[in-house]
Amino acid sequence: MDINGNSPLLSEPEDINRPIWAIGGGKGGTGKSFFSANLAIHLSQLGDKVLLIDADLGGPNLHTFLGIKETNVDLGHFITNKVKDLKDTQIPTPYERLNLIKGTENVLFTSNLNYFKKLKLIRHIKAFNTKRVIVDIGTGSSYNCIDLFLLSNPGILVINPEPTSIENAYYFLKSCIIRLLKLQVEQYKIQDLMKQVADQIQDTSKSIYSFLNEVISHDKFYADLLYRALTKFTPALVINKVRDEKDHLLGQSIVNVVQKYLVTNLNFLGVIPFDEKVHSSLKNFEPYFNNYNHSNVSASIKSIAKKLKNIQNGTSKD
Amino acid sequence: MAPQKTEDLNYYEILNVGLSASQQQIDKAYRIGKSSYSHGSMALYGLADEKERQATIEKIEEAYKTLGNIRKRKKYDIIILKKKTGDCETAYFRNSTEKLIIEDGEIKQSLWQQIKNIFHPQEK
Repeated sequence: MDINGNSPLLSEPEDINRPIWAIGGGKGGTGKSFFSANLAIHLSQLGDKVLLIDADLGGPNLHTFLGIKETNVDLGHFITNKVKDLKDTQIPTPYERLNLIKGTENVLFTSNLNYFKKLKLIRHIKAFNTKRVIVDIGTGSSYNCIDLFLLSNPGILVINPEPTSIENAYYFLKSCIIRLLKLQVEQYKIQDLMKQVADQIQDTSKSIYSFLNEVISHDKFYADLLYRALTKFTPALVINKVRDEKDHLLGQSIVNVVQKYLVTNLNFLGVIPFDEKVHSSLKNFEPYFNNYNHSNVSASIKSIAKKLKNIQNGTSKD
Repeated sequence: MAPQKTEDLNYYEILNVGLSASQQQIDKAYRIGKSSYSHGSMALYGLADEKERQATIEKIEEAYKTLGNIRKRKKYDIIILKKKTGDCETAYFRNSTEKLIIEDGEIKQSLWQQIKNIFHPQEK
């Protein structure tokens, strides 16, 4: 809590204008880093100044997608206080207007960030005034991943059309929602509700709305408060490695189901088709987007980027 | 607005469309709903049990049978709008050309007419 009793992890009104897009999703191997890197390349080619941050503390890869092998400075230097300002860890890339903060190789000492280091990282990320900041938060639903995801506007889930990926995405979303509710409850010091939220965390209950209905029966005012906080959480969804037509309908189905069971409005941005050339590009250390700029994959990324910019413009204040 | 259970949702809500949705929008919503709650749907994986899924798909089918038919939809709209506005008979007249009960009711005199009748009782 800060001096006014506000949680530093809760969004402030000016956050709505910050162009921070966090890419997450729970499961590994869904294409988050591929999507982050190629989205950043595309936006930089459109003329935007872009900063790509590899916040995958357990397994950074963005530098590989951009064709960068060795660097003198990375995120680990900031986390271990060797560098004071996060801005000083930026490195140029082969792409004009695109800078990278490379993920740390000191995985053992930096992948388990303590609370204050995480707050420091979030504070520095928020301070960037670059046009676009894309943060690859990596795999899992740890507090660090979730808090970085909640920082963004919007957070983008990248999943595959497979039950395992969808299941992990739902765990991730539930974790985000429960984290949001917990922060609100701590903010307003609602002791009884804190206990209910804690029970919900331990419970394997499937439905957030049944939890909210229970809260309504106890205290309508705070239930309304929590519900309003939830409605501000509007992550986006991308389905990667799509192979057939049915997978296109899957996105709408997931939006439908998440709205009903998790009381969350997902924005479905689109699908990215499966392409064997993605794999071969990576093996050859070649940038996919530049070499296959007219492929269906690149067309999908361009379309998703346009929708993201529209979402950003829709919520920006003049 | 509080989140609702499947059994409390009306046909529009279960298909996630507005009251003024076109037939095309209803058809699309039905396809998405059917896909979302079909047996083995990936979208539902880990979120709902078989009982809940079955109840929801049945309600979606029911909703589409009603909203997909113009006459049935019109009758259903009257029920929905009546519920929204309580017992007010005049509330739904813009959406229906059916005869309203108030058409056979007494014509009420305006206040001015009543005052005139006090001073000039023979005038009508």
